[in-house]
Amino acid sequence: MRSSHLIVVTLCASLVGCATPEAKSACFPVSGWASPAMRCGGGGGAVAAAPAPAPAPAPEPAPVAVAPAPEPAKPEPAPEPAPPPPKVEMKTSHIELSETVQFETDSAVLLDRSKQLLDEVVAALNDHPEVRKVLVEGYTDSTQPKKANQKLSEQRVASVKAYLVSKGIEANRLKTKGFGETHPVASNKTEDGRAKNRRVEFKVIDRKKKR
Amino acid sequence: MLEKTTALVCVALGAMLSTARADDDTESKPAAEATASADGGDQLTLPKGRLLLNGFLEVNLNEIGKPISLSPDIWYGVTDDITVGLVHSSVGSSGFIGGVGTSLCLTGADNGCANLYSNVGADIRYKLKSGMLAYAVDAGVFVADVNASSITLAAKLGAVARWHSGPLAVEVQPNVFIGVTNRDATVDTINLPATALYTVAPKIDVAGQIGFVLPLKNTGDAYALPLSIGAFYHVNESLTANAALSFPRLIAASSGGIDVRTLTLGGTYAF
Repeated sequence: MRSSHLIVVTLCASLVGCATPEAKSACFPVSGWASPAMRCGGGGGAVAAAPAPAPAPAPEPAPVAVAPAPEPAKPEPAPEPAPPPPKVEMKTSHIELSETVQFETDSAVLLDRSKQLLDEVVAALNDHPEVRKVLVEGYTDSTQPKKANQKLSEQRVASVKAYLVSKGIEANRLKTKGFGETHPVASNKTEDGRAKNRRVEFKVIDRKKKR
Repeated sequence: MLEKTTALVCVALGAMLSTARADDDTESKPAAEATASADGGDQLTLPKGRLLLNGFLEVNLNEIGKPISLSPDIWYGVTDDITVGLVHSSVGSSGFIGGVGTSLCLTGADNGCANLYSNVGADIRYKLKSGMLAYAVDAGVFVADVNASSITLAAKLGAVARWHSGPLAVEVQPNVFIGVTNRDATVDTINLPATALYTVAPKIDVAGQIGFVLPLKNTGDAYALPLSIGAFYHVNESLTANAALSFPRLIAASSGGIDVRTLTLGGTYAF
């Protein structure tokens, strides 16, 4: 009996040791008695994994004592933390995003952090008036039925357009198209691949030519 | 009867395998910049490298606290499709919440514990599909009594399915336990648990479970229809607490009714 206990404890300890922190992706346990059951890549009881945090500002330098002065030296003023790198960059053919546009699960409702990302898209479009028209493309993975994916992708790009327009972008500068689960960029067999396939892209389709 | 049951289970599993969607549609698209959004889909296995711990404190309410048992289950994602588990709880083995007195039985022989430690199993799940409708096949080997001089061993074959839409989810876990050793002392059993869940608040789900326990010997005298009601509270993205009131033999040919009842307090932590 003791040996049985030892085996069990050893197995548990081995399994805990095997858990890889990097694997703690956008999956979290869902309620139910069919455990282990997980929801991956979306909202629900919790939301998808947050993007990597911005680098912390450099710590303040320690005060430097200068002998034999009686007064303690004043600390050097802390250097200004470097501004975070832009998450949105206007390229010739497209707008590049370093983060993901995320929605609530099975819904076209934008998450708050994605609204902040889209605010930067608005700024990029305002900074580049030569970009006359942008095509907002929406794609999904293949976990749902094709028709549902098509509809969801259309609703989501419409939601993105509505948000951009609400922030002052002219509606006629934006065109939308939902592609559903077509044009995957990775395998739908793996979670990483499915996450890559769930995406929103911004393509520049009309640009004022330089003289 | 056993042969028929085994054949039925094999046919069911085969049908599920054949309908599993082949979604290797990697039609590449040139110059596609992946800026992912999140759709979300359920799956009944863990992603590769993830670990999930379920712990249940089970209390008999018929004679309160006689017994009380503690059942930990630990699951590990070997690959995105295969998850293995070391299982002690009734819900981890049969799919029915509300068992008591197995695993680590804490209250001693005078207070309802047959053994200090029993009912341990090794389980393996293979994911067939994830998404709004997710399903997997499930198999395992269980030891009913680790203290006995001759080990009572049973094999489990089953399937797990979960469907969700908005706030509603439904789970079914049909399985059959077949005695491997000590067959004279064991009864092969089909378990058919079904659970409905409803999200009543962003962090709170309520659940009801019903089903059939069908021993394949003297079925008419030994069947049971359990009922459980419970609730889940999402503490954070990793931790969920749950509680269930169960009537393991709500309807049964004998020794049933609401007098047979248990309380299960549980927690799930995902590493």
